[in-house]
Amino acid sequence: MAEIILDNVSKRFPGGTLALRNASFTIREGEFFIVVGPSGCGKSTVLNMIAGLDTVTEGEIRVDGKVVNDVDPKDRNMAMVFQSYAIYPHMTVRENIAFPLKLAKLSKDEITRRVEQAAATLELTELLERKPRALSGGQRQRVAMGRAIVREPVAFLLDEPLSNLDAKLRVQMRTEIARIQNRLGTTMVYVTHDQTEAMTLGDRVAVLCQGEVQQIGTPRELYEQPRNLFVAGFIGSPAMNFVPAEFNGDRIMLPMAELEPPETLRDCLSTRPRQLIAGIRPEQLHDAATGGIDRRYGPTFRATVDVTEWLGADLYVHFQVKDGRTPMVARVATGSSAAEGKELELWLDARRLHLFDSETGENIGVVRG
Amino acid sequence: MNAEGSSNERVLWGFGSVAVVVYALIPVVWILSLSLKPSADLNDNRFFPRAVSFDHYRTIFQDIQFPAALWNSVGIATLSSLLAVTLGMFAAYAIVRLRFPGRRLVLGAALSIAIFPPIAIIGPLFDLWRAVGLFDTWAGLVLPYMTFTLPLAIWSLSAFFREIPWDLEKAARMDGATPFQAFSRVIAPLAAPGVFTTSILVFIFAWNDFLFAASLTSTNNARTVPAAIAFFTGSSRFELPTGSIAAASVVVTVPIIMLVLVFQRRIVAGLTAGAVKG
Ligand SMILES: Nc1ncnc2c1ncn2[C@@H]1O[C@H](COP(=O)(O)OP(=O)(O)O)[C@@H](O)[C@H]1O
Ligand SMILES: [Mg+2]
Repeated sequence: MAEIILDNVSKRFPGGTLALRNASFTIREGEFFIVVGPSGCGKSTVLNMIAGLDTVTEGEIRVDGKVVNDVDPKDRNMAMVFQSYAIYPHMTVRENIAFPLKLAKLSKDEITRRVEQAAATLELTELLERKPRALSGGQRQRVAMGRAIVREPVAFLLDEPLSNLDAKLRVQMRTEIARIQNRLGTTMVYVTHDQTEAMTLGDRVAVLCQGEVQQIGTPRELYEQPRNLFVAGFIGSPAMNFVPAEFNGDRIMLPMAELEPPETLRDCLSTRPRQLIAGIRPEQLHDAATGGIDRRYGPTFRATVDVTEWLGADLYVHFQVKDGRTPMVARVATGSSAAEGKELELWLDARRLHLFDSETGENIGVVRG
Repeated sequence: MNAEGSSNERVLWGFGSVAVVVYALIPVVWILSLSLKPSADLNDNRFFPRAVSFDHYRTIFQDIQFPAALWNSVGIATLSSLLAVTLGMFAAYAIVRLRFPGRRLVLGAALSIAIFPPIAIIGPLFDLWRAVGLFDTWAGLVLPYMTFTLPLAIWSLSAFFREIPWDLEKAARMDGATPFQAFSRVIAPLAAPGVFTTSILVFIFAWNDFLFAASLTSTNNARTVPAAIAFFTGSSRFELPTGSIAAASVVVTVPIIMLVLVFQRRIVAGLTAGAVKG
């Protein structure tokens, strides 16, 4: 178990790409830490630098207080799971899992004992003598996990470990990884582009965009207090709706309605008129007809429904706001009578409205000053 | 109609294949037949021997020249392929995996060596080897063989290395391997089919070479079989050593055939299947 600290770390590739800029964060001992961001934002680079597979251009990486910038990957005692699984095709499952132990020169008995234990944990016992080419994708993924857990490393590094699996298996393995991490209590750094994985797995999540850390926090913090437009739009599914908003010193004008600033945001707005972007999560929009609405907390408005998506427990209603060309999504109760092409009255629950500065993109309710 | 067409096609293909095989095998069978004919029958104008005799084989192995040449051939060809493949493996690996300035240059230079006509350097090499004492030694032949086959080794091995996912090497490093262990325990075994193929090609080049062998050797010290055969003499000055030459030719072909048969199974493609999700 280890505490991993990135102190002002930057990475510039020989070609000149700045893959990571001044990243600073602390991964606490035993924490399940997630790095999430769109493809190409530098997630793998972060992981590879922690692993020692990539050099650090600037800054320091410390593991348990010791600077590891120049420590060889083999001496960091970290285990990594690759997106491609990277299991050795010429070795059986047993040999694959035993490989790190053999390199560590453990005794034969100890190797056998540990391999079988890891195999049992991952339900690989039956497959130990097979070659990787005779395994399914999910089984290969387990072998890669097995090779990681067998050696009791100080940290697990996982680079999009589930993105090659089909949806059902992904959910299953997700739970399994969470279980393993819980049981072993080992620090885990998990890289993914999938915000659902990030939200469901992470103790804390770092959101990365174009090599810059946007925000670090618990999934709840990221969801409820996104620092900027990027985080707000990236976290949550369906994504947050963004509409232009104008504050005239007193009231906020949205394309579909106007409203008083919610109480929580009043201090942040002063009386100076300004251009803003309003962020509305789909679950803040309710079908006015299904009841439970309270006009004290937000206005109602009418919109024409484009498309509805029924998912059993939820009903997503896609619509356009009247005078804009902004498509929006509402998550309404399944009892709603919303129908494609029909008008619908919606209530905006403004208590959790987010307002972003239209120039800097910062959430004025979170980033003060 | 359709079935008929396809069976016609099959006959055509079958006929073509047989024709090619027969065309390729006739000289070989002819040599084999000659080597088995008793001396008196050598000029009997028959394709198959009337009587089979192993006299010629006995003759060539009784002479000290031929066994020595065979030993030289085996030793020199093996050494050349070992050296060329080992060096080629490191070079190819570096070219594929490391980004260093002049990668293209190395490949280009290797290619230009490969197309360099050996006949153009044989004269100077003869003088040079005599001056430095490499003339008529194993090293004197191993060196040019290695030089001329290295480009081939580098090219074909780098094609094989390129197929191996880089993640495997990173995984090995994370599992606690030194760079050399990662190479020897993971990359090299996966490149094995490439290594075998390349070794065989280099071996055959060295085994078959006549030009260097005839020019750079003079005695049994280093003379290889192709050169030795050219120096065969008949039992009297009126007799051509046709039978002995035929027998020697058959003998030198055998190791090559065995080599290919033995390693054919190792040269299986798709060994990397299952490394990464395809
Ligand atoms: N070896 C490399 N050389 C040059 N640029 C690279 C290299 N590896 C990654 N990059 C660049 O760095 C950026 C971040 O890459 P990466 O960390 O792999 O992204 P992610 O894993 O988030 O998809 C990308 O723009 C990518 O093109
Ligand atoms: Mg990546």
